[in-house]
Amino acid sequence: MGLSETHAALRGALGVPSPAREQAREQLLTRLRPMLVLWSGTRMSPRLKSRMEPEDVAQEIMARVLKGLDGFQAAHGDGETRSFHAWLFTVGENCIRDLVAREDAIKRRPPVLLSVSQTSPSQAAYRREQVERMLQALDALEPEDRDVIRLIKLQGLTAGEAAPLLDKTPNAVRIQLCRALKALHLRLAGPAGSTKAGETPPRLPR
Amino acid sequence: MAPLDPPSTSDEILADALEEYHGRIALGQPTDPASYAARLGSRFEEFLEVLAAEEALDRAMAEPETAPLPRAFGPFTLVREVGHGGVGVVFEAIERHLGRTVAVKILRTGIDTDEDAKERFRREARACAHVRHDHIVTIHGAGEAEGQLYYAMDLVPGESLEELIKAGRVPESRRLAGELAKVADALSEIHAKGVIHRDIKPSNLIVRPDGLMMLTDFGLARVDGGLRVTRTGQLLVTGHYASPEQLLGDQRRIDRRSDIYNFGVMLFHAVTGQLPIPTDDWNVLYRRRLHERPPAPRSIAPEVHPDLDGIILKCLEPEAGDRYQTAAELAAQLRNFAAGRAVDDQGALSPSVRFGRGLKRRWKPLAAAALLLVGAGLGLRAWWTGRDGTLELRYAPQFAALLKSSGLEAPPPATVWINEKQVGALPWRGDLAPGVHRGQVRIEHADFEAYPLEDDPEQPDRGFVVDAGARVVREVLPMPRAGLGGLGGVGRLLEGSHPELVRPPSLTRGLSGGEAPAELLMPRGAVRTQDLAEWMLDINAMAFVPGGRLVLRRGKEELWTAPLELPSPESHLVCGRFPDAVLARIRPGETLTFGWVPPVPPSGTRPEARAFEETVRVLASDPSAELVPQVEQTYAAAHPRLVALLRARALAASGLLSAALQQVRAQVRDPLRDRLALEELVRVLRQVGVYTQLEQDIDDFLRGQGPAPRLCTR
Repeated sequence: MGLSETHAALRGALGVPSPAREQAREQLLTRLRPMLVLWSGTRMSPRLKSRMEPEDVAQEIMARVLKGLDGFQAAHGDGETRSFHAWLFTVGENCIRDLVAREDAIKRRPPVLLSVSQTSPSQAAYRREQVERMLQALDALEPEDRDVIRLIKLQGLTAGEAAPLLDKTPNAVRIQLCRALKALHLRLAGPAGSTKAGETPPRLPR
Repeated sequence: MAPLDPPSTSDEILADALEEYHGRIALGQPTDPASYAARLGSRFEEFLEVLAAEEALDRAMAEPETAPLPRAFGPFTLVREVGHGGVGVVFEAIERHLGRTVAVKILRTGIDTDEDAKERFRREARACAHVRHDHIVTIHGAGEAEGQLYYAMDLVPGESLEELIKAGRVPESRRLAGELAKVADALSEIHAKGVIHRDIKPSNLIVRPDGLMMLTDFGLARVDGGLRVTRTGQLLVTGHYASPEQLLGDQRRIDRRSDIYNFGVMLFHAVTGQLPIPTDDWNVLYRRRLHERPPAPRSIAPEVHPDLDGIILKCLEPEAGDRYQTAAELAAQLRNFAAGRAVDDQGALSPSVRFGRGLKRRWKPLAAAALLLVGAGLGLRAWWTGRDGTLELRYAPQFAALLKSSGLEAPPPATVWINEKQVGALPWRGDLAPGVHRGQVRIEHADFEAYPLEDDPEQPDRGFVVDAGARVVREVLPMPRAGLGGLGGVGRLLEGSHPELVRPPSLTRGLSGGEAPAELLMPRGAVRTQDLAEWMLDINAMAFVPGGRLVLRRGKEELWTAPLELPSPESHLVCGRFPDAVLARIRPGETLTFGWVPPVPPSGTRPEARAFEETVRVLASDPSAELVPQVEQTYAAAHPRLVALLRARALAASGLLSAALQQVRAQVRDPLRDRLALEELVRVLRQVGVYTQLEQDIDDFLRGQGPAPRLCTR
């Protein structure tokens, strides 16, 4: 979900309290969920992954976002999308750090019902699998490739913003992003079933 | 972190094109990617790959969540999802006007705009409608609803053969063969109608509660003479079950005998519980399927009957002409086996049988090879003292004795790491200068398996292939930061100092990489030069020897024509084996980075660190900006770096994290020495709140659990 889509969904989610706002919030989180699953998958340490699924972490983040939206609204008025993204990923980071700290105490939570009735039945299964496949492909990348994709494609940072975080020049970040996406494509284009859930897929040569 | 290729101009061109492309789209100027073809030339394909990856990411992120069931869909009410395959999702559904329960397969949304997928789907419906057989799932009708293609078929109760295999509930082999013979009959009927299934695998075989097996999912079927919709080279079949010609994507060679091959893999999997090539590594699968014979099922599950073993191996012949030519032939042999009758195993001899026959013809060379193996085994036994599966780096007795006789205590060990993970410790060596000593080895192949002796008709002059526990020696000098003139220089130096070693010219290419040279040497005269080109490097153990050399052991099929000339075992300082966890990380085609880091000697940074912390403490108690200049004045002369770090901390406290990062980063010149700056760097990275591998690497290093992070030089 890009920034522009987020903006439209965010406007509705930050209005005055009303049934429509609640519905818009649910809609916003529903739309954010796949991205948050991917983000969590690329952000979680192997140890945390051995305890929790990215879906669980995304769920936890969404729960916190839902609780914190009023606070965000108070601080940012009607919500500037970049601020929302920055806030969202801060919530995500905090959430992951908390989960790592108390991972032993974490139990899986049942998913919150966030359904969109217009989704077709085949879409649901297909999309679940698509997200799962993407997670596996991201998992198989080199860590720095995963980082650059997460920061730029999922978090929406610019190459300049990501550069100091990755200890690279902005130009090197742009180039690495290209390489990372090529590697991702190679992973996605691999044979069906070449990786299984729960297994660490092999790394491809660079 | 894996080393990156240095950015090249062409990489930048690609990045520029991508940026421009997105810029245009953002400005509402949709651009045809094809317009970049001329500009990008040979890199256009990569451009398309990058766009495809972006699209896939966008698709994965743009997915809303699930839809509740039951719900109406065309003339059906979908009750529950019962499975999903490569092209569609299958639901249990009620056909409302008839009130009957059916299975409805719906083409997946998201790929419904893909004409290939649509065409495959329609073809599947046509192919199913063509065929009526007790062992093929009957199709009732096809159509389109809510913009999605579907077809309805019998809902067959039961489990897939795949589920039975996983649960270890596969029927006894003769009964299994009897049932599968009927499926092969069904396959024969499909073939007679000009349809090739192309995706026979356990998950496409439904086993009813009464044991009857039914073939389903014609998603990849190709009607002979029909429209060819699959792009050449597109791999549609599940890789593990694919025939060599399917892996090659050679459409002209894919025919009914490909189904026989798929069937053979399925049978192999069912009777042994394993795949013939049990790997998830695409490269390994591809290479071994194309270049090697599959193992005999009996070598994995000795209880498999030799006749069934023969049937399976005949299905799995790499050359289609050597397999059963029709499904009816296969069905007949399965039926023979099921009934306990003799099976025609013409051409389906297992390697053990072949070996037995080969043994009679070649007992002399085999005896010589056996002697060599025993000799090699004894040598290796003396050589490798590590326990299997664990890393054991220890002082060689003679080294410990030397230390003792010299009245020296052993200094602290150096960190030894492989692929950026600490795997052990190496005794301190006085002549090893502080610094990161690293080298790289490109691993072409990392399996180490024993291979049965067998005839290889393609290489008659070789006669037989043995697992000789062959050993490759790679010599790596303690590598200074500069000097020696790179690879060639190291090679010359080694050759000069170790006349017993020779550098095979055919293997030295591509061995160097990154910042340090690596060199492959081996005992002179150990192998025939002409065999070297065929070598695939299998490494399953390593040893560090005096002089900082690293010795790697490999084990794989090789024909040895001369005794192994092992360097003197007494020369080894320490040795060990890769732990399983390290082995698991070594993948074919990957560059294995290894090295050792002597302990960082206590340096002058500690007092500086104390001063820094003290200053920070003072600042924390009085966070007035004025204090900073005072501190600067106090420390500037002695510790200019400390001042820079303080400035960075002030920047970070003001929320200017990016500037703080740059300020700290500029202070890290040598990770091994600038510990204080590294600690600060990881602190600011944490404050930024965006996790990266860099943060993890620095943290690991600071805790002594990883090599020095590789920071970019600006």
